[in-house]
Amino acid sequence: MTDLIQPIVNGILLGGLYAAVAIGLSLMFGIVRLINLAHGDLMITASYLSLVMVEQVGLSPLTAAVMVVPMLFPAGFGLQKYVLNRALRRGPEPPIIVALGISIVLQNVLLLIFSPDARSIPANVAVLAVPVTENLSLPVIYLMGFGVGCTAIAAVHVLVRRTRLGRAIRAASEDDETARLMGIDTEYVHCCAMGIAVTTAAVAGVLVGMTFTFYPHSGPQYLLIAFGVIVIGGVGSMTGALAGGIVLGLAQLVGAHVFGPGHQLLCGYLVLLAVLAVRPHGILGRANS
Amino acid sequence: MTPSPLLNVRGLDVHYGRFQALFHVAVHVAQGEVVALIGGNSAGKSTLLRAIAALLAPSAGTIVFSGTDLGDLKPHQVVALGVSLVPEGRHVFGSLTVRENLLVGAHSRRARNAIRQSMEEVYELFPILRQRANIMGNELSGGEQQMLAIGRSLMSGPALMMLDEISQGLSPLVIKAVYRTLSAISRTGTAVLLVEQDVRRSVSVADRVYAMVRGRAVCLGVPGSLTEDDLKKACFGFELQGARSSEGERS
Ligand SMILES: Nc1ncnc2c1ncn2[C@@H]1O[C@H](COP(=O)(O)OP(=O)(O)OP(=O)(O)O)[C@@H](O)[C@H]1O
Ligand SMILES: [Mg+2]
Repeated sequence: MTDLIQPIVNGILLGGLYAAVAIGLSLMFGIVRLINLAHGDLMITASYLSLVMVEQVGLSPLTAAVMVVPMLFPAGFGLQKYVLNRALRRGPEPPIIVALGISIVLQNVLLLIFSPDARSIPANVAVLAVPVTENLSLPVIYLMGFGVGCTAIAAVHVLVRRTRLGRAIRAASEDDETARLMGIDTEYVHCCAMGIAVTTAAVAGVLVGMTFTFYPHSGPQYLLIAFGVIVIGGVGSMTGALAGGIVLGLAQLVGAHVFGPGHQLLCGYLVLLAVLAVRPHGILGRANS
Repeated sequence: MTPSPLLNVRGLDVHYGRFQALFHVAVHVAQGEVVALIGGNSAGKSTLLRAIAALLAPSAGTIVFSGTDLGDLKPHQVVALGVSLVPEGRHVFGSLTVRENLLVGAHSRRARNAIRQSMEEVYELFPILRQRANIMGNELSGGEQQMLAIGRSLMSGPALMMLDEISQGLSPLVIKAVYRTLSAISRTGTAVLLVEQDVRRSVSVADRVYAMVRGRAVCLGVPGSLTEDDLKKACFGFELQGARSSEGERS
């Protein structure tokens, strides 16, 4: 029994990172109602950008993160402004196809530049751990992931619930036309939302890049994790994303511990199905939305 | 007529695809004036208001507000100039609180600076909204939603307020209350363009009345000179004198 404590603690900590992976997708999917299938690939692009900063430019991983994360805001803003908003004028479906196209393009560009080899951002913290008891130690990189994930969730939550931009995002997603009648430039608001979403993806990308190995084709894998997290937690709920991340992280690591590493993903998705059977709208989702 | 009206619509045509909804509509509203636009179902009243609000692009004609041609503007820019539309069916944001709905109404840059004062004014006009400030929009009654829709539109500090069928689906008592606040709003110098099917009610508060029949607007004049019979005839089914004379270019 005592040897279960480590996977449980790791699972909870991993949940924070998973929440960071999902929060941007949740913002766009749950509130703006746009399914950004390129979310995972944008995230992995940020991983590679940090890798370049560390390996080629010689920055520390933290400095690299501070450089890369703000770069992704204008990227998301521009992607929405010049590509997705144009597709959105033709209806709700075209942007999904366009995002899928962007996903494929990004994967192949990354493949061309970086080759299909597994990479990871070299960081000293990746091998550090804080010993707690004989059976339990806390990996520093997981602690960082958890801390940053919680901070990202809190920041997006406050932004959506408490700020003028957040109100405009919610108003525009509920009733676009009426929002425009209130003086809201809804296309601009969508650009800001996507900028924020991609910024959070960049944060997650840097963390993932320091925690795990990644490939040019890792994006869809994280997209799937992000979907799992928001389906478990409840679509559009920021606190739900944290709950969903923790449930999925726990299910994967405890499952891997009990049934063997090969069963990690399977256990995650079985728990997802179980949650959906009991609470179809997710743990913190609302039935009417 | 004042030398240059606040709102001046001339020769306006609006199409939905190949269907023409408005024909050469000419309507003007002076500063501080209350103008009623009456007409039956599908006459084109909402279409006119939505075209002024820039939700629809006219195929011909001009809309000038306060000296600015609204032709190439987007809806949020029209709001910023001081034109506000309370849409048919209220369209309160159900997932936002009453207070958030009001704040969204003050989104434009101009309105933002006066936010506290405007909110206080709205709460004075509709005390019930103050009590309900933290309730979700979709938990309000129909009457409260209509008050919120009007209050939200006032938050933008409009010089011209357009209201589309605000009495629809409300009890007579609530309608009376809503119209009382309308008079209060007009007394502060805000011009009002009021669309109603309820002829008697809207004409009673109006300085001038237009009738709209099948996409054509005709100025009927000042309410005092109109009998109820005149109005009914003008709006429901009868061919109009004015309309016939301007019907040269039937499509
Ligand atoms: N989105 C649309 N697409 C196509 N036709 C439309 C559209 N909206 C309105 N119409 C048509 O335009 C005409 C005018 O409609 P409009 O809504 O302006 O009338 P209205 O006077 O406001 O009527 P009501 O009193 O019923 O609200 C109608 O024949 C209507 O069917
Ligand atoms: Mg109408």
